[in-house]
Amino acid sequence: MTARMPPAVATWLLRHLGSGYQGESLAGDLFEEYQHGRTSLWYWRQSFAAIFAARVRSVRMTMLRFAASTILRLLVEVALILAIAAVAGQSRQLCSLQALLSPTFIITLSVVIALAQAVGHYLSQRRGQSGRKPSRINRLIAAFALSALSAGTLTWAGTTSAASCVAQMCSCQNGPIAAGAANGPTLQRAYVSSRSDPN
Amino acid sequence: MRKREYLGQLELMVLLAVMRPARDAYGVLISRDIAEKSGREVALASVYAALERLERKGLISSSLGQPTAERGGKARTYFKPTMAGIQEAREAHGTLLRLTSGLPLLKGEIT
Repeated sequence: MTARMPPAVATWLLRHLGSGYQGESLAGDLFEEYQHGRTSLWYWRQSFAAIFAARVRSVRMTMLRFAASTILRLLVEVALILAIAAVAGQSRQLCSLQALLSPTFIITLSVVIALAQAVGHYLSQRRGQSGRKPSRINRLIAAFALSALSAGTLTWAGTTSAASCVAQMCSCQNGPIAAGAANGPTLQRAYVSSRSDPN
Repeated sequence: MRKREYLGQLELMVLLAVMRPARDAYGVLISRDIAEKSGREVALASVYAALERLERKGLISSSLGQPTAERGGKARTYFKPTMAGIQEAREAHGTLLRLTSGLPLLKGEIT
């Protein structure tokens, strides 16, 4: 028995434009139904429906992927900007150049920036490869990591600069006033009052 | 009450068609089954879109068969329900029964 051949153009379009979920099986099903007496019009209609569904799916996936990677990149960039702002803020402090150039500060800041970059890159790559929505926990982890990294960077940079610089200033100007003290703002107040008080 | 994703009408019809016993469910059979039972023809692409959603939700699983000449050398993809799928269909069925019980309009008792 010779097989009835379905419209070649429709088949070609289906093969090239309608490759969605189980595309081969769908094409096989259409062929099978055509052998069982379906009309060419039916075949065309079904092919167009399959192509339309595949295109809509493809556009939706592309848009979702684009939106997700844009948001992730934005989060990473915000974290980086905050980290840079913290460095700039520290560099404006008095006698903070020493603290800024200390190996601990540089290494920690580099690690923080690298971590933020890695998290964003990993998540956007993973999403691109799988084409699926990342799970809720992944999104939570990403949001938590980026918030924690930026908040941590700012806090650490702020406290380090305040404590070390004021301590240095106090030890230079007033000798033992800074010794044993651990609180930046307290030291700052002590330093300011000692400068303003002539006695 | 636990939060869960509800099945759409087509998804539920496809899931129920997949659950029919004593045969391997694949696209053509599922589509025919729905057309027979509902009186409406559904595009095969829509059936496959629903199958994709069901598989993503873990309610059905698929396996590839052998290519045949009857299908132009293309293989069939067979679908079967998972335990979660059977449970979901049971719950949907129960919910529909509870919702439709005591509705005079459904029995033709128009006042």
